[in-house]
Order: sequence, then structure tokens, then C-alpha cells
Amino acid sequence: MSILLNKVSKKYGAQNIVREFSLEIESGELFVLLGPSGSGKSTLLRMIAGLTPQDTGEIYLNDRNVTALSPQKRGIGFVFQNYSLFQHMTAAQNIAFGLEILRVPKAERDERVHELLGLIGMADLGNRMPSQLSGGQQQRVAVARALAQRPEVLLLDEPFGALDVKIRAQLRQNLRDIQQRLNVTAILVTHDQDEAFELADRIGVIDGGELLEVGTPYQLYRKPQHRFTATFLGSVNLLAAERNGTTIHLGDKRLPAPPQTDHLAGQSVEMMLRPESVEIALTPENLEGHLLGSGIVESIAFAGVLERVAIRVQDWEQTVHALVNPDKARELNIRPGDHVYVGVRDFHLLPLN
Amino acid sequence: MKKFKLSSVFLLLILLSSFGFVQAQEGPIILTLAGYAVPREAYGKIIPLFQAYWADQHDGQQVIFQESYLASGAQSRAVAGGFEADIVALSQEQHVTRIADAGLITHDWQANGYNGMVSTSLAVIVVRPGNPKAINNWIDLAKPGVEVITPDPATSGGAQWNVMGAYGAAYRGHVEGYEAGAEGALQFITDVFTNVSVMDADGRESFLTFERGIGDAAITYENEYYAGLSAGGEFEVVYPTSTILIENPIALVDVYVDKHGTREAAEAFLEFVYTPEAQAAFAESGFRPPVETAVEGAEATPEPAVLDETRYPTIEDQFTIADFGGWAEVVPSIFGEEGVFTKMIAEVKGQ
Amino acid sequence: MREKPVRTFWPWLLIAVVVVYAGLLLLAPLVAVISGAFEDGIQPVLEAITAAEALLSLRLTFFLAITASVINAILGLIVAWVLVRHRFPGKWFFNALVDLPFVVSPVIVGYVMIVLFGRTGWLQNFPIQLAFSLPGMLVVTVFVSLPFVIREVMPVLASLTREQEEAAFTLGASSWMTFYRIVFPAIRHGIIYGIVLTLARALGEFGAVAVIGGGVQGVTETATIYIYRSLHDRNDIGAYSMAITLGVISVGILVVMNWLRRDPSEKGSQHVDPTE
Repeated sequence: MSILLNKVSKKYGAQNIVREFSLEIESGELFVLLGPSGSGKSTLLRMIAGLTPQDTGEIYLNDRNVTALSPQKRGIGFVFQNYSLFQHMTAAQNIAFGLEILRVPKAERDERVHELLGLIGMADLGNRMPSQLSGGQQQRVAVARALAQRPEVLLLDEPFGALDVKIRAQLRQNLRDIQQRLNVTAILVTHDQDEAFELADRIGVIDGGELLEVGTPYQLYRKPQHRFTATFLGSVNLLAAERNGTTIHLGDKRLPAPPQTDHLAGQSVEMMLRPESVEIALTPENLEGHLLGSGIVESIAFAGVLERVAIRVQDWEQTVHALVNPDKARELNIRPGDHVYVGVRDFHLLPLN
Repeated sequence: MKKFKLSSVFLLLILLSSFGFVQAQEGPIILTLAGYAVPREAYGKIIPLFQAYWADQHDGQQVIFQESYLASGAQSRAVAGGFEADIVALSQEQHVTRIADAGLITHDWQANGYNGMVSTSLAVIVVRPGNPKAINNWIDLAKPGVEVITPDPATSGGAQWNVMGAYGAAYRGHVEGYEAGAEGALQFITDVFTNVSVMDADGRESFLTFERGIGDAAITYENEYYAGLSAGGEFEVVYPTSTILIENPIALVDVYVDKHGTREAAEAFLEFVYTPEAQAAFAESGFRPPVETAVEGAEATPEPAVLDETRYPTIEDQFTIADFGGWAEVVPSIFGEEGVFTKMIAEVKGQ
Repeated sequence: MREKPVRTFWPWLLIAVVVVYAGLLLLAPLVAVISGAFEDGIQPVLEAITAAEALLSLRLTFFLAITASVINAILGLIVAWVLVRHRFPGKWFFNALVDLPFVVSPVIVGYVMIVLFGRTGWLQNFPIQLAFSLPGMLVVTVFVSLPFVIREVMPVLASLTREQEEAAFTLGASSWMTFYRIVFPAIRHGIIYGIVLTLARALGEFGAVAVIGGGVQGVTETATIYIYRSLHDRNDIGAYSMAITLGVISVGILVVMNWLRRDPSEKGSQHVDPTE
């Protein structure tokens, strides 16, 4: 076990920032802590680093209880959202700083700095001052600096938050490569679901200081346990329904219950439909999945590779969103105001609470 | 490189300050003299004479003087407040009295045969070369259109002498057109101060203002006129027919000399300033000698220097502050918060 | 579309104001002092400036200015740190208090010191004699020049994110190491500029040191008191010569400090890799 958190809590005044947070992270794993701003994810990361003292609970890094240790002694690397490079030092000096603290001999230090500069693809830029580097370059220097001492754990606080969308994608891949090559255990904090999906071995969803659920990106996207997870990870249609036995009652429609939802038997539930699972047809016969009802097209919007269609379903007076591929949309030739049938290929159930 | 530069500067700073100031070593006697600004030149001549005299009498022992010259009133307050001067040489008796009242002078400092005074002078009028405004006596200062310069009696002890010179002359019936007595005298100085354009903080500053070309006439002291003259100034002195004899006190401060163990040297210096050589130095700087007072049982004092009549003419009606009851009476009744001068000046300058 | 600037007489008026203002207030006195000093050639100036009393007063001024700068650099840094980084009750009050030396007349500072530490003062039994003594002069010099380092360092310190220090902590640097290697280099310009201003202020101080020192020639007479006394004694050349000396020294300090302030990172122009 590389990182173990046991009931870690933090309060500011009367406000709970982090509440009895327990988590286990495997060695070499890249774990993404995903949550909206103010959810306590950064505070949690800072507590792991020792920068913010926790009120209660224990923190273990590689089976070592570090709960009472100062940040200097935890053996972690930390990448701050704004990088926090030392402005009066060159990129190379920034990277070398931690090694100097460890009194690594100069020759070895230079070699390590050279190696890290190569790893981040900045072999020729070691003599630049931070002010002479682009945002992306600064971010990579910050990562290299955090890795210089070969920490057991790398902690990253919104490391891509201040970058352009385009550079972000590039740097994510870069980070993932480095993390896997060095096989370092990492926790990355973000509010960006795309980032989480792309990088994470596992994602932990945090809201209001509590860990809601942990899973692979696929699990959390397709089969979340919480409504919050469902809505936070991409857009979703939620329809109130009943689960009776193995049948879902949605208005007058009957649908078979999906697997792994037996614990919700006999309960009021919400059907969770990802827009890409929703299909549209001009006649009920042309639907591949289950018929949900019929309605009027409200709007059609271009959404990149797909088109987003909003349909007002008459039976239960609710708008359902569907993502349709453009070919299909052209074939249907629908316009706002047209009458269509709505079906679903695949859905999940959430407890109603 | 950068680091080197910075630390080297810090090092330099610390090195520099370490060879900074060192207090004078033990061994010679150190006398601190707190004087008012004007007689600095005279003491500059007297002190070497005294040092030679003392060395001669005491196997070559050195006496080092630490001299401070400030406005008399400020100096007096400083000494009373803890400035440990062995000797004070001030412009006005009251300033020494303040130090005595603070308990620092415990002996009767006026019992030396000269009433504690070391030098005298006269309140006079100084005018531009050729006396273009025809100022020949006090009365002419009250004429309309004459711009008069004199220091501020609120801060300057010397200024109080000037005011008392004019006031006294009128009081004694020597200013035409003003009735003798307090009422006429007050009216006269009211008219004079209506003509006063600049009131500097001390006597020297006031006279320097006049030297720089401001004003038609300056009320100042005879010695200040001579000091200005020897510095190359061009102006003429006018002796009023009646004026006050300015008397400057000197005293040793018992508490401080005993604390410093300098009583013997300080007492010797206080005697030395009455020797002909010391008085000659005062005369050279424009001062008149102190007036000998016949105090019974007073020790024999050196002969006063003979006055050079051409340089120090006799005044028809010379009076002293004692004629008005001394400063102890004059200060509260004329210059105090409720004094007639203070009220008058507020009215004249306030209008 | 760029509008053609409208020419009116206003800019010229403003320029005229600047020229007259700078000329009358800065240049005219400078010319007067220099011409006054060299009225009789350079010999009297050299004699005046090498006179024993002049040299003693200069040495005292240097001692006071440099010592006060060192003290204020260290204490000012601590005060700035506490005011920026710590929260405590009454902080606003102390923050406002720092500016007190700017608004209180130095003469009053000197006088208050005498009232406090003088013969009949409240603190007359203070172990070090402050009234009419060198330590007292140092204390008032430190006091009147106190705000400079603090006010120069505070904004730099405030702009320095806490995260830079935290980054150093996570890299294993101790608090002291973090201060020395990370915080200090970032605020050193502020400190240096503060020291320059402190030095300049201390060199020029008159009222406070005159009152507390008693102006004893060769003992507690600083260069500025020497100038004042020289004017009083009709020693105009002595006064002007000393004024020029002080002026040259001040300019010299400014030049040296400007050289020190140069930052190697500012030498090159901003250069960002276009491939990013």
C-alpha cells in the first residue's frame, strides 16, 4: 500500500472542510481526486504533504506513519497550481534545489538535472529564468523539480489549471508518460472530468469534504453509485422511475432492470441515461433499444463530432438530451418542432434520495 | 556574483560602523561648556589661553573642552533636562536661574563680585551705510515706513534685552512724544513692533537676516554689531541716548561638575574668564566687561579691563534690568503669558 | 483608425511647470551652494572640509547613518515579516504606528526622548544614558528612518506567495534555508532600496539629533548640525562645503545601490519558446 488515509478530518472554524476521509492507493497508481472547487480536495492534498495540519486521522506513506511529520520529512514531491517556481533561479537551479538540500555531490546533481530536463523535453532550456519560459514549460519544470529527489509520492494540485486547452492535452500525455516511466505513485487533484478520465488509473470523487466513491473512469461514468457522480462526470438525463422486481416502471412504459442493480429492488429510483445512449426515431419501430416515449424536438445544436438534440417528451413533461451522430441526424432530417420517438439503448439506475 | 556583491556591502557597512565613534579617553580633564551662540568666538580665544594656563599650573595636564552653542533658552532647558554641562555661559540671568531652580546649581552663583556676569553689552540700533532712513534714536524706529528687524522674545533671550532697551528708554522719558512710565513705554514698543517685519528665533539669525539685506534697521547688541563688522559686514551703529546694559551670566553646574569630578578645573575657568587676557578676548569680540559689584566679603577679583572709549562710548542714560526689578519681575509682567508685551504682540501681529 | 493628437497649449504649460518647479526647487539651490562654496576657489573648500571639526562631524554622521541602516535593515525585516505574515490583535494599530516617524517632526522626537530619558524624565533610570549622548542620537536616527525598510519590504513580501516557501519545504528545505535561499533573494531589492532611503534620511537628519545630542562640537555634532553652526558663525564656505560633501556622498550611495539593484534576470529580454 503506497498511500493510506485513515479518517482524516479538517475543520476551519465550524465548517467541515474534509470529513473522515479514508482512502487506499496502490503503489505506482495515478489516482485522480476529482471534485468541484471548495470540495476540500486541495486541502486533503496539502494534508498529505504536511503543509496543512489535519485535525484528526492518520496518514501513511509506504507503511510509514507520517501524520506528525513536517513536509520536509515526508518524502513527497509537490506541484503547485501556479508552479511556484523560484523566480530568481534558472530552470536547472530550480530542479537542482532539492538535490542541494540533500547535499548531493555536484557531479551527480548536474547529471540528475540533465536527465530530468531531458525527461521533460527541455534539455536546452536549463539556463532560462522562469520569466523567460512559457506556462507549459514552467509547469514541466515544476514537475521535474518535484521529481528530482525521487520522491515516493508525487502530489499535483490542479497542475494544468492555468494552461490553454491545447497545451493541457499535450502535457497530460507528457505527465502520464513520466509517471509511468518512473513508476511513482501520484495523486492529482482536479475539477476537470476530461483530465480525470484521460490520466486516472482510478478516480475518487469528492464533494463537501467527503469521498463519495472510488472507481475506474469507466465504472464511474457508466455505473456510478451517486447522483452527484453521475451529474459531475459528463451530462446525464435523470428520469424518476420505480423498480418492481426485475422491471422498471417509467410512467406506462416497462423496461427490464439493468444488471448489478438488485440492491435497488422495490425502490423509487432514477434512470440515468447518458445522452449518447439516447436514440431518436421517426417511428417506434425504428428504435434499436427500449421505447421511452414521444416528444417534440426543442433544439438541435452542433457539438463537435456529434449533434446535441433536446426533445420535450410529452408523457412526463421533461426534456431529454440526446447525442446523435451527424449522419443519423441528416437521415432523420428533423427540425425543432418535429415529432419524434425517443428510445434508450443502455441505462443505469440510481437510488432516489 | 550577485550574492558576493550583496554580502560584501553588508560586511563593508558593519566594518565601517565599527570604527565609528569613540568617546574621548580617560586621562585629561574634560570640561563641557554649554554656551549661547554669540560668544563662541570669544571662548574660542579664551579656551586655549586657559588650557595653557592650566597646563602650566598642573604639570602639563590637559583640559579638553567640549563646546556646545545653542540658543540660550534651548541650552538652558537642555542643561536642566540632563545635558551634563560643567559650565553654562548664557545670555540672560533667568536661563541660569532655571538651572539653579532644577537643583543643579547649589551655590550662590552670583556671589563672585560681578553678580555672576561675565560680559556686558548694549542694546543698539544698526542701520544701512549712510543711514538713509535717518535713524538716530529709538524714536525713529516708530516712524512709519521704517522696517525693523529683531529676534522673537518668545524664543530668544537676547530679544528680551532688545525689547527692554526700547521699553526702558521710553519708560525713563528718553523717547520724545511718549510719556514716561509704563503706559507710554508700552505705546512706544507697540509702535516699534508694528514696524518689525521679521522675528527670527535667535539673535544671530536675526542679525544675519539684516545682513542679507532685509530691513532698514536692526535692534541688536553692540557685540553683534562688532562681530558682523569684523566679518566684513557694511552697516552703521546708532547708539540711542538711553539704553539697557546687557549682562551675560556664567556659572558652573555643581551637580554635574561633582559627578564628573571636574570642580577644580571648572572653578579655575570661572576665575580665568575675569582675567585681563580673557576680558581682552571678550572686548575683541565686541563685548564690554562686567560691572564690578561691591559685595561685602566677596573675594578679590582681577581688575576689569580698561574700556576703549572710541569703541565703547558712554551712553547718556545707561540703565540695567535691575532698575526694573530684575528679570524675576520683568519676565512674568512683560514677557509671560499674561505679560504686556505678549498681549501686545498678539494684537499687533494678529491684526 | 488612429486619431491625430490634438495640440493645445496645455502640454506646454505642464512642461513649463515641471521646468520651473525642478529648476527653482532643485537646481537653483544647488547652483547657489556650489557657487557659494567655490567663491574663493577650491583651496578654502578643501581646508573647510578637512578641518578637524568638519571631519569629526562627518564621521559621526556616517557612524549614525550606517549603524541605523544596519539596525533598521534587520529590525525592519522582522517587523515587515510579522506585519505581513502574522495575524494578531491590534495589528492595524501597529501597522499605522510604523508611519509615525513620517508624520512626527524630528525636533519633537528629540524632545520627547529628553522628556522620557532626561534628568527628570519618566525613564531617567534607564541603564544606558540616552539624553544628550551618542546612544540617544542613534536611537532617534533609527526612529526617524524606521519606516523605510519596512515600507519597502512589506509589499514585496506580500506579493511573494506562500507557495514558494511551501515548495521549498516539500523539497526538504528548513525554515531558515527557505528564508535565506528563497525569501531573501526575492525581497533583497526592497531591502536594498529601503537601506538607501534609510541612509539618505539618516545622513540628512538634523532636528532630532540636534535636540537629543546637545550639539557638542566634535562630540555630538553631526554634519548637518555643523552646517547649521557654520552658517551661524558666518563660516559660509564651511557650511556650503559640507553641504556639497553630503550631497556628493548621497548621490554616490544612490549610484552604488543602483548598481547593486541590477538583476541578472532582467538583463535578457523576455524570451518565450515559440514551439510551446
